[in-house]
Amino acid sequence: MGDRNKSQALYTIIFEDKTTYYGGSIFDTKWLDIPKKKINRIFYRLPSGDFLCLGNYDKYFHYIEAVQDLTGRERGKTKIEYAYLMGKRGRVVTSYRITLINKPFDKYRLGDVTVREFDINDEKIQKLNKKGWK
Amino acid sequence: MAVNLVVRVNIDDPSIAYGETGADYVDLDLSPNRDYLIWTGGSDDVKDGENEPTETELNIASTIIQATAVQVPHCLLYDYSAGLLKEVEGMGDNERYVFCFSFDGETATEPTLEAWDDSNHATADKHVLGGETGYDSFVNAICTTSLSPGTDWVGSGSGTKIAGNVTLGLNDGDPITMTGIATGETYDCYANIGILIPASYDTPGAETFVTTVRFTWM
Repeated sequence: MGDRNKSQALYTIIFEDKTTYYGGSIFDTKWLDIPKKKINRIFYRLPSGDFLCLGNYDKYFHYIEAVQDLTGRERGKTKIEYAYLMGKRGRVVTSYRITLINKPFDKYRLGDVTVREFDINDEKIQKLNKKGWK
Repeated sequence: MAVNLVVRVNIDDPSIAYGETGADYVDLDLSPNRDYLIWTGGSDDVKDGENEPTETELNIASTIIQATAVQVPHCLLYDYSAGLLKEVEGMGDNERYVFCFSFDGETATEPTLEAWDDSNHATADKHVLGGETGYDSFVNAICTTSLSPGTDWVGSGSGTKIAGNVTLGLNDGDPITMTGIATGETYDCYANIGILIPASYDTPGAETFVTTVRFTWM
């Protein structure tokens, strides 16, 4: 990947062996292509251009959430609302939700990061696609 | 890669899944001023095979509140490309393959069907959604990806009364995995939707609401 693409990558992963991996974009995250190696750090690009940095977790999960209206004036548009980056340590999963849209009447604004913790057995965690854990 | 969603409705035989021999579905063209869905009591002007109805024709064909709960009997697709109304077959009945949600890739979570006042997805306060009225949502939905919904599923309340954060999972609780799906084919989830107006509901009206599908990719 060229330097320009590296600088625009959605995320950068540094593995324990000190090699790096560059994520793609919101539309093509390349998350499922991450090599099977122990992750040391993830630097995730926020809408502001700053980074959210996660480290010291056993496993990581990432996904993009979108909506598509079937009725109403915005029907048919795919609107990307959130990115989720999660870290699992022991029995606790910490979820970082990054808001990617400004919606009227929503207290969360573009770039806001909302942190929640879940028990590993929480249904929301158990129902995640297991291929996504890295 | 981003996952793409295509919504289809069955206009012929709701016992036949999309892609099977004899299936007849319409892919919804949801771009502005194209296809749209109408829930209606129906009339000579608002029925399968008729032209796009006027607002007056739609109002005349609206479902009237009764002393007993009444289910809106018809869902019509206005098919822009054909310039005609087409009946969505099996809507609200004990039929499995009515509304089809086709995904072309794996998801991180189970896709969900939601209902909101408008495209802001912030409130569910309208009468039809039961918000602030003391009633549940009139919009009943049930996942039929694996099973038929059952007899009188709307009246018996075995569906989910979707509104706001009360949503319907479209894949029996599971994210979509493409295992066993050939390249270029889609994973198809199904749901049925029925609208039940409570008995002697005290506020007659004609309301719009927004249904939306929430889905994810990794």
